[in-house]
Amino acid sequence: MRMRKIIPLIPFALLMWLPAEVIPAEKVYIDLSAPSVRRLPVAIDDFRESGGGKDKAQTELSQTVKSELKDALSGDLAFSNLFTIVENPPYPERPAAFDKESGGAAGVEWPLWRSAGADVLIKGSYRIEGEKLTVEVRMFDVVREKEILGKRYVGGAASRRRLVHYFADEIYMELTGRKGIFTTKMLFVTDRTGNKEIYLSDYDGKNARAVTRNGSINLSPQWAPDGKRVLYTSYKKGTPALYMLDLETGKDETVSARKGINIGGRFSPDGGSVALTLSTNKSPELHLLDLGKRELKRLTDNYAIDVSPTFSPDGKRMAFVSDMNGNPHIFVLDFYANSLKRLTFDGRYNSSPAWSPDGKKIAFSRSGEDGRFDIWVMESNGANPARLTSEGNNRNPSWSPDGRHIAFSSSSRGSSSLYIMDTEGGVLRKLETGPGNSKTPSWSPFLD
Amino acid sequence: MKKMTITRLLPAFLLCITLISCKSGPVVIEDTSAGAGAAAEVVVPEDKTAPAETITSEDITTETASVREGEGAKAASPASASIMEGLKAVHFDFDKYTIRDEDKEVLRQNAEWLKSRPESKVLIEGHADERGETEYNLALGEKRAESVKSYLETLGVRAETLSTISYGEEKPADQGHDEAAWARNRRAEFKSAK
Repeated sequence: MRMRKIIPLIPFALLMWLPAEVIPAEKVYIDLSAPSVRRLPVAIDDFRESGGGKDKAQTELSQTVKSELKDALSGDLAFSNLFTIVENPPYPERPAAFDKESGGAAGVEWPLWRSAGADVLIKGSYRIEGEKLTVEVRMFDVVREKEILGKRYVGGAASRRRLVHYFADEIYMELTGRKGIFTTKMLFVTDRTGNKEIYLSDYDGKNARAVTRNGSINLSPQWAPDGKRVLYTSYKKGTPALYMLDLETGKDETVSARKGINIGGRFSPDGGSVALTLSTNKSPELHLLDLGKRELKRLTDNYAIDVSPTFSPDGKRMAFVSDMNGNPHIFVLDFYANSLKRLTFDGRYNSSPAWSPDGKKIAFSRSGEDGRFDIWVMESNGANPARLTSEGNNRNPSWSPDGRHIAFSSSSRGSSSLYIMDTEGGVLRKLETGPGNSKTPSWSPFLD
Repeated sequence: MKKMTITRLLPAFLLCITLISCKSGPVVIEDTSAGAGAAAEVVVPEDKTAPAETITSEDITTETASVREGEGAKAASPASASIMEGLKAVHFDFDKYTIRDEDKEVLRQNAEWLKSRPESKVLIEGHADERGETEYNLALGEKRAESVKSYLETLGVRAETLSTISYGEEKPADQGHDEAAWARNRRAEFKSAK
């Protein structure tokens, strides 16, 4: 039995608080740990509008909603890599296929969808009433002729894509027994305003909106483990200092504004500390700042550059970039053993390490003699480095919270965009974040 | 693939919550699966990161935020900094922060100019080219600016008159994307520090 957490947002709601997700004990239909997963052929019917007359503006909104619902769902399903999206049959089925009383399956013309090659069918309808948008979506097993999943979502018309992302998460959970990433978000830097500002978008780059608007240079956004706060470097007061913004309350505070650079802040996994690079002693050194006690501890001590920390998920180790041996390589500091180990030996320039959520791997960016940067992944002890990209300049990898995807920046001749791919370099998808150049993505944790 | 891959009926057992019409707040989810029994709604949390007015509150926070640590360098803001005539920029090799031999003479002339104007306060800006990585380049720009500052100090310029700032790869002098542009962008420049 599966339960859902109930968030009592409504004053007279029943305050029933139940354990967060109980994973169903039944069989998992798609085993993601299998070496190769056969994709399910799925058909996505056009969303239908239910409900009546409206003026011209409403008609335009309706058409936008209609196409965006399908677009968002198609994008999610394609990116999940669990599905192959098949073309819809040339003839639409009879209307009235949606019959709530009978569970929705009664009117489906099964042979039509089978002939289109679909094993799975998704049908949806929506209704717009003022600002309110109601979306019903159902997933059918076309072979067995039955409904598998049906949900009704109610939200603002502006949150239409988000409604579908919730459904995609449900589908993913239903088929794999694991949490989907479709409701996660992305932070990145864009120059669309002429300045470098931090923006926040859905995981697919859509719905991008400004997080900073100070007209200076804002860099290196990073999520707190709670998914509510953002660390970033900004020149808004003249010098590169580290700030923390609470996305819910808008409260912004200075984390560190010491002399020199205060950059590259990363939260420790427990959220209690921030690792950052400071140059108070002339050479950029890594430090650990306890946010509660405001105590600062220096982690590196050399004449080299030490930047871009990334914590292991258990918080016991921290990988970072240093040129202590001449050119930039990745090292790992073990807090408990108090030891330092070099992880990379090849390449001319190794940078932006990102520890995977399961702790087993580190993604990073490397350039060889040709000067072009690619995303690589190695085991967390440095073994078996493998290259995942092969074109453009690819930097700043960031793992999805389920560890199955990597976001990164890719640039070519000054034009930079964000991409996401799977952990073997497949299922590459460019994110439509809007105008301008986008760089340094930071993928959110699961946002519950 | 076996013939049937997804046959599990949704085990939907739902918990009830009163539904109200919501404008732009929480997303309400109702399970409508066959066999789900009586319809019931589940409320998922409001997307608190979404409202633009919440997350773009930079204006409020700029006033309330206080710099708690240290003072920060009193650098001129990017807009107000002006290049000091008489002080020539120096350039660096890729991923290096050592002063080139040919630039040592430039810095010697800069030092003489500064020593003849002891009241001058100078901000040394360190920059990197677009290759490499944002944070590493910020550190590299800092190292370059500090190298120049140290060199000028050895030539007798008073340390108190010199300050540094790094812009990493963020403020290129040349917008090009070739070796010539990169060479121009790997630099330390001198600005007037008020």
